[in-house]
Amino acid sequence: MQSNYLIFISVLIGLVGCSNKPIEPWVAPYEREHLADPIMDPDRDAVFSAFRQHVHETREASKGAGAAQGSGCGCN
Amino acid sequence: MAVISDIFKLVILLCCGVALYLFAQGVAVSASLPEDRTDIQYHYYDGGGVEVDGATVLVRKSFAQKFSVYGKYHQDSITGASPDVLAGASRYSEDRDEYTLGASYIHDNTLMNAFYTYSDESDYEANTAGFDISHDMFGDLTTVSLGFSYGDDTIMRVDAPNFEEDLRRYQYRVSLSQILTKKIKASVSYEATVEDGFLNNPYRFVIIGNVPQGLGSEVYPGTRTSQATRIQATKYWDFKAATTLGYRYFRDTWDITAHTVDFTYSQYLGERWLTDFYLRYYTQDAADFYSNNFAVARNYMARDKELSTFDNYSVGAKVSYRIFDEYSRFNNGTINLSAEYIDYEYDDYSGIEDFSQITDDPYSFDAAVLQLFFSVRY
Repeated sequence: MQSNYLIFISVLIGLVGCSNKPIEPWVAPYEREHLADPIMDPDRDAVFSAFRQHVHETREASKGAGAAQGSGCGCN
Repeated sequence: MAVISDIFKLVILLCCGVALYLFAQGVAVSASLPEDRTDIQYHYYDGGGVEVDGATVLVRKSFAQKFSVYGKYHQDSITGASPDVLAGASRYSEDRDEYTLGASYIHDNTLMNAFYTYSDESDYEANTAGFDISHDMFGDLTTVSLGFSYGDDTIMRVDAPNFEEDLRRYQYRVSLSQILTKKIKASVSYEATVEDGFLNNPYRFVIIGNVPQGLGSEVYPGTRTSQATRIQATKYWDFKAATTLGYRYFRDTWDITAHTVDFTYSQYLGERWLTDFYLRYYTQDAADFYSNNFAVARNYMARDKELSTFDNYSVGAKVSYRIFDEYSRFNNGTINLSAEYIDYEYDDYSGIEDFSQITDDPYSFDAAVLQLFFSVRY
């Protein structure tokens, strides 16, 4: 595990070192019309997505890495 | 505990590393606060002997161009019970009320969000607080997010006033979103969850040698560590459509492995209609201490169907209609209706509703979910 941490830190230091060079964005701001369209976000309605996720998670063993945070059970 | 310790170390290292990286970046611009909006939703669920309906209200408002606050109220009315519960208790009805307060703050291209949620029902009380930070970089092509939540739950039983147990939950999450082309974006998210305390459902029971034991006879380990990783990509199509494909891998210390695949197709129809079609498939293996019918008693025993081997698929559709644009001080208003069908198929769980009829026949059920909501943006 120790060696894994050393590799991880080395990669991060390399990443930080590289960050001083400006990176040219390959998609300019004026080219992001489609990316900014609400249709590109399937979770655009937080209330809708949160309930849908709650319905699934209360009946499954897995959770995490999803769109919504919440609490409570409602799972009898 | 060694696994938990390693995850803690890795997450802390990751947080430090990303913080160091963010510090080294000096570029400004363009993260944005979430939009000001109010949503009012009615929701309905019917499946497996349980009916849930209720309402949700969300209000979000920004001020001083740097802050946004929101409040959310969610209410569930639950009637009926799943087969596990029916076998050992009568049908019931109860309410769940959930209150959330949150605030966002934006500084240059860094967005911070903090929230607190309180949920209350007759036999379960939950407090959750969390903090998330995200940062846009590389000319806003890349967004890195970090988050942490702490939950403190109290588990009770409606039929046993003296029964009270605690559960603590720690969630660590990190994600990376990337614009790949003018029409494609992708993201990868990771979340580790550490739970410590009473993880059972107090209304479940186990069967040992064909003999059902009493309510609360399940015995779970006192800790659980789980890890979930999700990748997702969304593409815009020139015929005013978008598709999203996602996959999540889940693994925990109870030996449960789960896979989720979901697909969304979104399509504008004319100027005012937006439709979404959903497909989702989920499959999981059982916990290593799960059995539908134990041969002999063990240290840890579960017969909760959520810990069994099963899969489900769901199909759904949502329709949104823009009712108005630029009316008074409002930007627009939409009315939305969605319906989803879910089919659950269990491999090694039998739904026993009567102790005198123990069977090994696999259980299955289907469910319907309806949501109707109204949104106003301002």
